[in-house]
Amino acid sequence: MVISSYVIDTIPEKCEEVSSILVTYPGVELHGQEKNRLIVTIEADSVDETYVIATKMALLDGVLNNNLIYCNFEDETLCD
Amino acid sequence: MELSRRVFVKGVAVAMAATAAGSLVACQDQTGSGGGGSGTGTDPGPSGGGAEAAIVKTKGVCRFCGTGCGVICEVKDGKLITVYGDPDNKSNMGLSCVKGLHLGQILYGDDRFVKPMIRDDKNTKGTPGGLREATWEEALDLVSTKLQDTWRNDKSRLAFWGSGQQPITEGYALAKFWKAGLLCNNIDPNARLCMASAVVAFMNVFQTDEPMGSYTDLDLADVFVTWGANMAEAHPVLYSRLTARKVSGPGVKHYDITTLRTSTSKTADKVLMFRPGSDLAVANAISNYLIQNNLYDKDFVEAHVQFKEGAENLGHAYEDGYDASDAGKTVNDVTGIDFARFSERMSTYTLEYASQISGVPAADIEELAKLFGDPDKKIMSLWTMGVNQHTRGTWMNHCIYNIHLLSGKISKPGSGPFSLTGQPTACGTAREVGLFAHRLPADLVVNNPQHRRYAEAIWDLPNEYLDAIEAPGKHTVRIFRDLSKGDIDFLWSCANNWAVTLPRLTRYLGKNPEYKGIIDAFIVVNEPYPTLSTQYADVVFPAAMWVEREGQYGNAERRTAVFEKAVDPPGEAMWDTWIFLQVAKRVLEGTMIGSTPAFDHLFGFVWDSATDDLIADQREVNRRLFNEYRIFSNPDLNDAAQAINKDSEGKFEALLKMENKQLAPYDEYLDNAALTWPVREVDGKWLATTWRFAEGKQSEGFDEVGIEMYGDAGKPGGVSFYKSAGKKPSAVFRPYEPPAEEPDAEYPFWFCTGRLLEHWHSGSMTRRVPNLDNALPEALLYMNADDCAALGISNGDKVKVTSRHGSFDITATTDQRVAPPAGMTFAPFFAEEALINLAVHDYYCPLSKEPDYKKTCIKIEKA
Amino acid sequence: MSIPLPSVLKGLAALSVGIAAGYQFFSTGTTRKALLRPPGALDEPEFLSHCLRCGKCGLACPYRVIKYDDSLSQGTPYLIAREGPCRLCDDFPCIAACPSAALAPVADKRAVKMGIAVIDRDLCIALQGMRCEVCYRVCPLIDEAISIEYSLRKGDSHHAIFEPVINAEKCVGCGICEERCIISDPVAIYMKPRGS
Repeated sequence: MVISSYVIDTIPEKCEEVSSILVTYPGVELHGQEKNRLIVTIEADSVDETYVIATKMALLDGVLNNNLIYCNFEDETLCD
Repeated sequence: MELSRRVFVKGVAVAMAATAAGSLVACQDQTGSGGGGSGTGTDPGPSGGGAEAAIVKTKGVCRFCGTGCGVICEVKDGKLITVYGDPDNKSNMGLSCVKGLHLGQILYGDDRFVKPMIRDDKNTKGTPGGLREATWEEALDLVSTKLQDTWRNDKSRLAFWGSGQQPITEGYALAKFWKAGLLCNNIDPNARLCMASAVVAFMNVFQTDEPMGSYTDLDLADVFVTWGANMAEAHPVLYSRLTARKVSGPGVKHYDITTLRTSTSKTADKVLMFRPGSDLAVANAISNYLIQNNLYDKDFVEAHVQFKEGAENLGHAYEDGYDASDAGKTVNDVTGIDFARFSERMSTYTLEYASQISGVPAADIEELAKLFGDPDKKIMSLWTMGVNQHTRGTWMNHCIYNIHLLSGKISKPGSGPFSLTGQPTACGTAREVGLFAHRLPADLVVNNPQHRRYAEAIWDLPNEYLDAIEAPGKHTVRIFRDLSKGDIDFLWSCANNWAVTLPRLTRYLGKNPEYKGIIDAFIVVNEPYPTLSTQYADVVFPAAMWVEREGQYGNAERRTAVFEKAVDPPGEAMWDTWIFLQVAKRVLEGTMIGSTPAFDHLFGFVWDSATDDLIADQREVNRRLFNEYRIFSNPDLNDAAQAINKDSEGKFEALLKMENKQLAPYDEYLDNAALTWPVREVDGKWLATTWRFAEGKQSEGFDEVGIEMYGDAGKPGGVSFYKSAGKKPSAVFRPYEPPAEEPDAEYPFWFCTGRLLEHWHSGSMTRRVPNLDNALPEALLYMNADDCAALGISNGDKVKVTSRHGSFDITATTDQRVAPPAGMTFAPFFAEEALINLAVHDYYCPLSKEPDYKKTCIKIEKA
Repeated sequence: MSIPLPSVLKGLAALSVGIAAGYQFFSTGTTRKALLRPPGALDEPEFLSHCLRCGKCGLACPYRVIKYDDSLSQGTPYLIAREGPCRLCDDFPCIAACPSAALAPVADKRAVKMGIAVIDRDLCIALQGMRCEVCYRVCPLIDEAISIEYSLRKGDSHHAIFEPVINAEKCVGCGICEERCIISDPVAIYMKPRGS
């Protein structure tokens, strides 16, 4: 299980809309919201999958920034 | 990833994001890493403010060690709210140790027994369950029936195990019931495990028990010698007094003679580390040095000392039949010898020989010997369990007395041998009241006809009534060895925890199939809290604790103190005197003494026939019991007793001199202060004695009245040992004989046991105090670091300790609070879960019957 | 699928900088006090940039005394000595478990520098003459990091003060003394973490 957290900046008027879409993504949880900032975690089976979901979030209409804060990938195997 | 780790990681993720997002989560102020502890705050001072009128203050004395610190209890709404040192008590002047500081909490553990408990299925013995609540009626009737049955059938099969923690009047009532009521000598106290060697030596040397000096000597000595005693932890406030003298007195020195470095060793000027058991040789070498170099006090010796040698090559009580064997039967034999012979016997103990046996450098022994040889040096010897819990413990006491008798350093302010008592009232109760298999009150013994006549006079018993108890009964180890074999049917105990504190528990607790007697025997325990002992009880009587009733303690310096009742016991718990007398009434039903019913004869004076119960006024019961008890040391209050004391009819050719332990009337202790006996009435005032047998003014604490009555004034040293045979204490030559076990390839380590400051004995009280439990939560095996390395044991590893007698698991430590030399180990006995006495042997001093808790041989393996 | 190592490290680097920046931001203008770090911890700024908040030190600790649940520490490990001090295990499993050397190996227990014990002279009962010195007796470096000094009790010629005295050079700050002190709310001896 790969666990990561993000701070997402949105256009203020779009914040509600963005957060309601985000939570429909698999493995995504909303933990807090203050003004136009959202705190979100993603739980996915792999880092690659995490990237896919995080990119989707970043490309949402109304999202200004998607900042990765923390990533734990101890369950992943490292090679190459 | 497991769920809990996942939750953790996610939490971290969220927290970091939240912080980064700028939303600071409110949190508690972190003051570094400290503060915010749990547990009750301890208030060392009096509680102030609030409704002052609602706080009641009572006077008391500490529940714990033999120092006997005075305390003040403060009670509000029926609950003890704080206890602090009594500034007016001369023993401690307001101070206490960390145990004493928490006295207010010992009554309030949440698992107090509040009703009598009965075990219906004896197969539940040894488990925490199996006890059900019962009424007092049921429990008292059951116990009384069982006791009466055994008593009538064969009274050698019943036993009482008493305590040096039972208040004086309770011990007295019990002794009277057992000795005069049941006519049974199978009653022995836990003090047998503690002070017996000291007591037997006192009687052998001085023909009177308890030290000549007092705590005042600590303020005046020039040299302190601690013999196998960790005073810093076992007598904390006394040690503070000793240390004050060291710090303030000019050139005051302290020699610590010990088998391992303790907290006491830390402040010593010199540590004489000796091989276990060889302390006999070290002491003899000092005596020999004094003789060989003509440094002994010739005038003193000529005036006051007689010499003896005794039975030797005693072997050890490996077998149950030891006491009855040829060696065992003759252990007390002594012959009078002259000084030349004594010197000749002692001459083997050269400095070199003692050094060879003990490992102590000869120069160190010589240095100490020279000090004893200096007539201007005031020297105080102090000892407790290292000397007493010793297979030659009585002899070791003798060896220390020999030094002080040869040098004349005894009964002088600041100078003298001071046998320290460990328990709060082993002196006041077990010894002075005579709760031993061979004793009667006030130093009297059962096998002396004059003594029996004297007791009969005071108890108003028919002539020769007590001849039925002329043969001493079973001592402690014998009681429990017999119990294990099924030869004891009824055992009753009070104010102790034998299932934790006896040695050789593997045998006594029925851990091997051969010794299952504990299961079938009917066992009664008076206890406030569930302990390992109550797990083996058939009946538990819920007992009042400490100041839940009025009581009295007599401490190590002969100071008798009253502790007032401060609060009521919880639930249906009752004080022990009430319990003893309720049983006595039932058991003695139908028995007559002369023409009166036995119970009325013995206890009518504290019984209220209207209510058919103990007199309701507890103070009055205490007063009457104490004032009867004190007749033993005030024979002028009883003509018949006085006649025997003075041998008016010339039948015995001896004076008893019972006044040598004179006690004041009860109200004197209540109204005025705790007093050191002998207490003398002079011009209407009761004056204490600080130095027994010493000439000087009674008002200054000297034994003026006693010497006037029985002694000779103007003798060398200004002393007169009027209670000793021929007024001459006996210096008895005692040789070195090896311990019962010594390390070998199979059991290569010495195992020493003892107490540490934070906990009292088996921890049944102090471990229920959160702060004390937190301060020392675990019993550890203190080991030498090199020994650990060689065994591959790291600090904090669990190890298994095995001896020839049993085994237990414990955590090992190389922390240096107790610093054993290579080959030595130490553990305290306060933790039931590290039951060290499973492995400790029960071989005892043949004279005192006190077991040696300091010298079991063990092996250690990583668990 | 596997993760290319370089991108992991790049990510970590970015993370560290971010956290260090965050610390700088939050450490100014707040009343945040220093935390008692596990043994072997680097100085605080380096520690914060090395610590991965992975939680492995806490798992490795056999006494389970390492805490993380306070968000102010941003998931970094710390101890509350009063509840769970460091026992200075011979093999320092916490240090062995740390993947980023935020907890760096120490030569032995004497080389640990978690902090220094401080005695509150108003609260310590030993200073009043009571026989306590629990802190002294429980110290794993007894007679080195802590010792007893004896003096006469004021106004009492019969009794001595047994004063526990900390040797600031030798004290490693494990916190066992604070855990065991018999005075509570507040304790009479407490850890001053390194860096405070």
